[in-house]
Amino acid sequence: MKARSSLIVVTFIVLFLVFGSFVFSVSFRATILRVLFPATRELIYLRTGLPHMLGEHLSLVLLSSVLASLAGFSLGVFVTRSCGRDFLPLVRGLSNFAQTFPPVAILALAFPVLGFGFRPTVAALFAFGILPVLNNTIEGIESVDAGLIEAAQGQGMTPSQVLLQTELPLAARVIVAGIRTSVIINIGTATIGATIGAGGLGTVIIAGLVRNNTAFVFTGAVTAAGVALATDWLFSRLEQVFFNPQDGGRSGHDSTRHSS
Amino acid sequence: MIEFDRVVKYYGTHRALDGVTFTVPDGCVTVLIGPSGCGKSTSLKLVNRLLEPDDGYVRVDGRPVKSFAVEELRRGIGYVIQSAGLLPHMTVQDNIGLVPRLLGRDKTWRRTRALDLLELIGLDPHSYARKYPSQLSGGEAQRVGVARALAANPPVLLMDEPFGAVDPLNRETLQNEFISLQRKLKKTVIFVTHDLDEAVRVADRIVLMQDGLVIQEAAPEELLGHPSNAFAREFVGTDRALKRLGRFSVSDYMSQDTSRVESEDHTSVPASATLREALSRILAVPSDQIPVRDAQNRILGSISLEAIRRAGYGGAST
Repeated sequence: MKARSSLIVVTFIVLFLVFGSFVFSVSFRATILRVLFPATRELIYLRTGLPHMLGEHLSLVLLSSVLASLAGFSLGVFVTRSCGRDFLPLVRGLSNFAQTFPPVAILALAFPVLGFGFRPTVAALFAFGILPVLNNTIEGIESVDAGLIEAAQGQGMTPSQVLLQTELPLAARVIVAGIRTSVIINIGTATIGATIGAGGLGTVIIAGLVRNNTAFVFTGAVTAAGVALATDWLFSRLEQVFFNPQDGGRSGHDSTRHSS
Repeated sequence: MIEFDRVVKYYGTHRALDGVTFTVPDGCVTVLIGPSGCGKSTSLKLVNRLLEPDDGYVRVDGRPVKSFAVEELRRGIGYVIQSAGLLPHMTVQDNIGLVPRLLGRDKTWRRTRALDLLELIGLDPHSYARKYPSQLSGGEAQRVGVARALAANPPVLLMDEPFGAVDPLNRETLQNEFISLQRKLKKTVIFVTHDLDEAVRVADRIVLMQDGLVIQEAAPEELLGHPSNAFAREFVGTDRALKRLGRFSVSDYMSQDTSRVESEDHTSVPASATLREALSRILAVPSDQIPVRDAQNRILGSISLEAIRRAGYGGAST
């Protein structure tokens, strides 16, 4: 068990170094691409550096995801309160309907209204990123046992104490899973932003598609995938740290692992 | 004292409580009993205002519950529910300290209180304080639920089928622990159950309900001895005379005379047992009396079939 986990750590470190070198060292990238695409003459996209595109990509995703998570979470909490419960069926229906939209369509609809560039892309990613957070916030809170909420009320908790000390702690895992989904989807979708001039890793992918240069497409796609995998891993670490196995039933881990 | 005064409660168009009036005296256990849908749990939740009545009054010490700030009212009333309702993300210690925390008690006070209460309910404080509810058995969780209700030392306890989710063997243990706890603490308890045996065991008074109405409000011996109508008679069952014997203690009906019992008699009954147990044991032997022993297994006297019959006859005739 211990040998296996240290092997995993070593693998992660190696992958991390390879990925870092690929992004930041032009010569390393060129070497790899030459092996993979021997027939291609132009291996390195020169107009914009890969680290710069990665930076643009991360700021697109970070900004839109933070806003989307805040909005989705707040709306989810609002429609599960007694004052907002009337809106619950409406919001649920709209959200399920909106999720069937492909992200490209959202972008296509957004740019005539919002124009070209960074901001409309953030707006489109924001709109699309709300849904998983909203859905999971609603489902997470709704799945808290009604008897437990009544027990908390019966002990004399105020409505905000019930929310902060009972509902949210018990729904946290599902809500974080929603944020995780939202961010991962946004990392992929953000590549489309390049079509309306938002920059990011999509730039090199689009350039590759236009010039029929597979090495360019590969460069952009692998980097975006690397970011998505790293983010996913980061979330799973976060979940392990915050939702430790001590609380048994909630985290789904073996509760007997807790001792002393 | 808690009073229900012509209380009416609707669920939609269904009249769940149809003018319910009864009183809960201080320092004793009042059991609300009846078939499901009779309104017993509804009545309980009107006391801590998890529900509000559509008409009539619920008063605690003469003061309508409506006049209290709802959270203040609830923090002053212990609340125990079926399957305990412990918060799964908090340790046992934090669950017990919940109401004191809401009342602003500091950490040290809460910890000391939690450890004291664990001791009181018979769980080892140091091994249980830091456990999570998922690591407890049903019976342990239920004990912790009682401890949580007692933490802020409220004068009133509401117990909604507190032992309903526990297996029969553990349920009896919990009932006995509750009875001895109550003897020490003398809380004003409203206890909801649908189990007549449980009611007879723990109650000082029983309020029998049916379809949102109080059918009979009486001491258990009285309810079993003189059920007031056909429903009450059916509810208490044809073995009500036997159940009633469960209310009497052997020590009150035994004779000091040990001349007719052999000390090597295999069948005997503890002085702390009920007449119902004594009867059951007498029926298993050819003799019409058996020795009564104390906790140290010494013979104190004897209990006879005749004595039991006389005790039972007191009210079992209808």
